[in-house]
Amino acid sequence: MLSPLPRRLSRRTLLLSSSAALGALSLGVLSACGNDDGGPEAIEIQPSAPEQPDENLLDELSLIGAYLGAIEAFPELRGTLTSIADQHSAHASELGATSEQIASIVPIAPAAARIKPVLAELIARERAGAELRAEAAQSSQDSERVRTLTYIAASEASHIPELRDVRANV
Amino acid sequence: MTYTDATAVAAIVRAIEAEQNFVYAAGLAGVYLTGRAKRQVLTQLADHQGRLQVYSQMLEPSSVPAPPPAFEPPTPFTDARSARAALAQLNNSLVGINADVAANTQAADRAFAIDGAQLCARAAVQWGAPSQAFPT
Repeated sequence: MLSPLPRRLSRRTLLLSSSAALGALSLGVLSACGNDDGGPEAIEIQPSAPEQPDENLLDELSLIGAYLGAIEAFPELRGTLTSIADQHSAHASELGATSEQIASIVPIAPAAARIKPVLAELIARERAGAELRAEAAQSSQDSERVRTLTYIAASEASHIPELRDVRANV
Repeated sequence: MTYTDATAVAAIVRAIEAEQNFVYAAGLAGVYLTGRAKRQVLTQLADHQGRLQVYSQMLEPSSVPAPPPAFEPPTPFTDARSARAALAQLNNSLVGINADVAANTQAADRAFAIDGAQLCARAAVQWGAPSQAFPT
């Protein structure tokens, strides 16, 4: 199931769309300036490709939102889940998120109403995240990024037994 | 493949030395563990022996370090609790070592190192360490 993205992501998507639209609009205006009566020639400007959001960063931010939502729904899980959410914040920060961006993430309400299915959902998200980070490390051409993504993939793999322990004890 | 680049060789040598130490420590820890924990450490000992072999095959034979005569664990093993703590610590230290290998290798060798980092981070938590954002 698709989870709603945190508000920050929506804003970012909007900004990216806006910058692309602005680029297109600028080209239109410049073309309209060009005429046959000796006025200044329009300068052709190629719009720069809009920056693609980093899939891994978006996933980290979404994970933080999922943890915040689970903590809000089940405050008794606050201890372990806050610790893991903080680790995802560190991952997001390492992947380029600012502290303001992280602070503006809104909780994503869990799909399930009971505690064990919510923990199962988090385990599934961690597994998927660890795989995504491992694949990104595998395909990266930048050795520093390979190192960072490998650390993050390992950290996320370690959240799985930790969450299983929590699930076994609730 | 066989790596000859100095940075890659250094990362793989560190991984081999760390795996040699882990194998030694796992054998020692097994003395203090019983039941499921003992079976778990024996399984990990075999896994890490296998990993040691794979890393050794990434280097020219002359670059492979000889096993040390002994290994001083980070904290002395006196009982099951200290054995678990040492295994957790050794597993966490292997995460960064594997990440370094991943950063300096390619294709299947990189995948092997990434997988090793994930296995070690998971094992560290299973031995009782809390998870970390960047396991060390």
